Amino acid sequence: MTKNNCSAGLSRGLGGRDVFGREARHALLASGALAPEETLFFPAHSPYFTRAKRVAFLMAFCTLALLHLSVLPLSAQSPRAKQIGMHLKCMCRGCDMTAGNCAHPGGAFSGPCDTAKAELREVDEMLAKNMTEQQIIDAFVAKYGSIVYVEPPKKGFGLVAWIMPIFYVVVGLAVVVYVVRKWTHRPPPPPPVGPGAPNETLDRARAQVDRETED
Amino acid sequence: MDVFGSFSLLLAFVCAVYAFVGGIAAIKTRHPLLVKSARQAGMATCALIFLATFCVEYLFFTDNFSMAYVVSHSNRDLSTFYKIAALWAGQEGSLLFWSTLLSIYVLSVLIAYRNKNGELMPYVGVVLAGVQIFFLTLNNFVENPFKTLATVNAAGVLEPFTRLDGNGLNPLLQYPEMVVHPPNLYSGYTGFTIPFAFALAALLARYPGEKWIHLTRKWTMVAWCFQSLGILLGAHWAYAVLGWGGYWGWDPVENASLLPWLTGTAFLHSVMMQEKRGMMKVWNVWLVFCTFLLCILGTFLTRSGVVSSVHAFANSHIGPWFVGFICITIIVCFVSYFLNRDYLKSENQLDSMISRESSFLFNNLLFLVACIAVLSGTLFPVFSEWFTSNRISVGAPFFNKVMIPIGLALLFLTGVGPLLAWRKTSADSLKRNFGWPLIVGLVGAFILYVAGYRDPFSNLCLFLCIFVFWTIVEEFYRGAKVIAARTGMSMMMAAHELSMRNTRRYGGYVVHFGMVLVFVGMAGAAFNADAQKAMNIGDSMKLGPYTLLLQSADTKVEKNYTAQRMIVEVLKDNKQIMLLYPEKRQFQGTEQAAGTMVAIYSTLREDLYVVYAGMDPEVNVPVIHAFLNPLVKWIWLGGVWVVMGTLLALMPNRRATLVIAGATEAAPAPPGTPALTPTTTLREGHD
Repeated sequence: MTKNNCSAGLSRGLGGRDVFGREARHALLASGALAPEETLFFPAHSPYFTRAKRVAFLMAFCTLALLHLSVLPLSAQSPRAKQIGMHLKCMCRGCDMTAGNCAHPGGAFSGPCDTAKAELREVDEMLAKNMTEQQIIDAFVAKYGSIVYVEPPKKGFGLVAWIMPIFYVVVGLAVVVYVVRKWTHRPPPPPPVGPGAPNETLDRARAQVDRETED
Repeated sequence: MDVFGSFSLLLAFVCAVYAFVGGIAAIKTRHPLLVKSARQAGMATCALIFLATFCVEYLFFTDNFSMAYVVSHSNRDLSTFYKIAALWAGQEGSLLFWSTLLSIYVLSVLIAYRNKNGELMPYVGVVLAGVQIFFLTLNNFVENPFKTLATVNAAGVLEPFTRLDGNGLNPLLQYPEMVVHPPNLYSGYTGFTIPFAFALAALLARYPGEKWIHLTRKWTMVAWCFQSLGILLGAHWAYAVLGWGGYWGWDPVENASLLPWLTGTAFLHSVMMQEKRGMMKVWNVWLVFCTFLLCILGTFLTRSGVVSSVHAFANSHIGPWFVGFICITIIVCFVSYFLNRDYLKSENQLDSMISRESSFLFNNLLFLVACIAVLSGTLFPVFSEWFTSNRISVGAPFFNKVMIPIGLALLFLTGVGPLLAWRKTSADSLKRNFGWPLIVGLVGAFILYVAGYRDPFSNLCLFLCIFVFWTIVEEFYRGAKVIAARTGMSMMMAAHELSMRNTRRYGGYVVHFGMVLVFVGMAGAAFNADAQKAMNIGDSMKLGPYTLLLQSADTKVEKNYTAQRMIVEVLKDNKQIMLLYPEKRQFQGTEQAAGTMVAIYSTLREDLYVVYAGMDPEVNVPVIHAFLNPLVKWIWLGGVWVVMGTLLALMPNRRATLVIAGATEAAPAPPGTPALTPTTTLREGHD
């Protein structure tokens, strides 16, 4: 927060002067020497894209990415690989994050660590072989064991994890419905008897009104 | 100083044992002097723990590198600010810090109720002393922070040894939030001990009525507030330090902090059932037991590293102790419940399915399901390893799939629940209360859809947010209108007066409003985008409406670290907005030596989150990773409202002065007749 404010203040304070080479760069932008589109930006989840456009863009991008795979620097995996990487654990055993969003806290390079990058590259290679997401995940599970997939598998013991929440909801609902039924059929508390009863009833009613209307 | 600290810690243990044993004897014999001495032993325990903590801090401030704990978590160049925080950087200190925070609560309780509730307090003292004994056992005999360094000399004899400098504090912890986040979270964890102690004490003492709930109401709210704040500060820390662009990763430790929050929130709601309708007595007792157990479990998961995670900075052998304590607590809870279960009989009946009562039941159901789902998901990898010798990962995608529907259902109840009447709600009142919120919510969601925010869960969430927001606005408006009409105040003043007259109810609405903001922020996550590029000076990169231009880079030498700093210019529509300075810090004297400083340009619409990831090893140019995270700021704003709402709810109600049109003062009721006004809070209008 403080950092932002302070840099905001700084930029405002210096506003108007070309301290940062702003105008020079604008000139570059205008002349076309510096193209802002020349970036590896792919807004996969951007609201500005419709689904059809997104798919088209994605396919175009994948083709491009695959063509350029050999020249891309390590830090730039295809977004598709990254998306699949979100479901694969980074196996470096240090960061406990997924290969897709490994930031490797505390490491010299925050961003995917070498292990995560290797995994993403592997995914890229598999994508190049036209493997589907499921096939890629299966291949990873075969290689590293079930730990590599961040969701429990929907078969075997992993299925238990998926059934549990549904089970809780069903049991919980049954209990609530049962309790509500039991309570709606519970007889009202018996009226008090003996001398002074009316007063006592009144007092109790008053206390109850008091309690129930307090907030 | 270390000997002094060590001795006070040991003495604290002795005092706690006396408070426990003496307390039990006092309950049996009912001897007033014994009661008093047990209470004073409890107070002495607290004072001695404070003293020990003070000693640890003193050792940090005087750079005493003959102490193992100081060597591991500090160095000479560490700033004063972080030397305070170094106390909870490791296992031993964290556990001592737990004891300290618990002692603050215990001391406050013992002093606040020293002349009140004479029947109940000895029991409370015993329970609290029991909890303290457990933590003091760990502090003294398992994880003692006062261990000194020793070396073997030439003659083969052990002798004390002093290092020249320490290893320094983990860089991940050298961030302002780390100074405030753990105290808040731990205050939450420890704070739930107080309602637990009162509940168990009331059960054991068969203390009449709902007294324990009235006594602990404020303590629970305080603990809950700290817990909420602690969770949000932790999320903010993860967001600003870990540099992966998110604030919540369903990490086991994050989950552990969420569990008692979920049951604690359920408890805060269900106590109203007991207060107003005398129902759910057994449930409330168990809910508070569970909350306490989950607090202990949370501490256990955080400290033991059972489920590996980035947070488990220390792995050690405290596991069996915690498991043992949890088992003993469960047994004590069960036994005292079975012996005294007849005392917890409900008295009222339910009239209708559509009523405030049933909405509370559903609220509790959802909170509990959420809690158990998170708990089983967190522990599932451990179980899978046990049963199949094959570790199955349960990560964020699982939790998102399970928790988003539950969260949305809870958000829906947040809007609906408070407007249902107790006992029975008529169809007419449903129409009156929910007509406008539904219309406004649908219109708002439609506008957002047209504006391009298209994601089913996100849209549903934003619709519910608007819906809930509108129900809250209507509540304030209706109440304020009545007061304004009666007193001639302005609407703003009337709304203020309304909140002050019933702080708990309207404070609750403010908290709900804060939660709505948090949900708005979370709905933004569906539209996250990011880009990463190796950039030379002068290169640019586009992300959403922003263009990032790497201006230059410099090196900043500080006392404790050297930072490589990227100067990134942010442009929107070819206009310079600001400069961001993402950093990479190289710390001195630590093994895990690097730290990231994320630079964030935060607006209500979105956060531009820029990380300097480091030098690309292959091409040797800086890599900038930028994220566009819509609506994140709303989460932090929501947190502020949650705290303000809780503070409002903690204030005492202001009594309404009855003003009848025309009259300046209410006529005093004639003596002898049953007077309603002086003792009842006047309700304005509706329910």
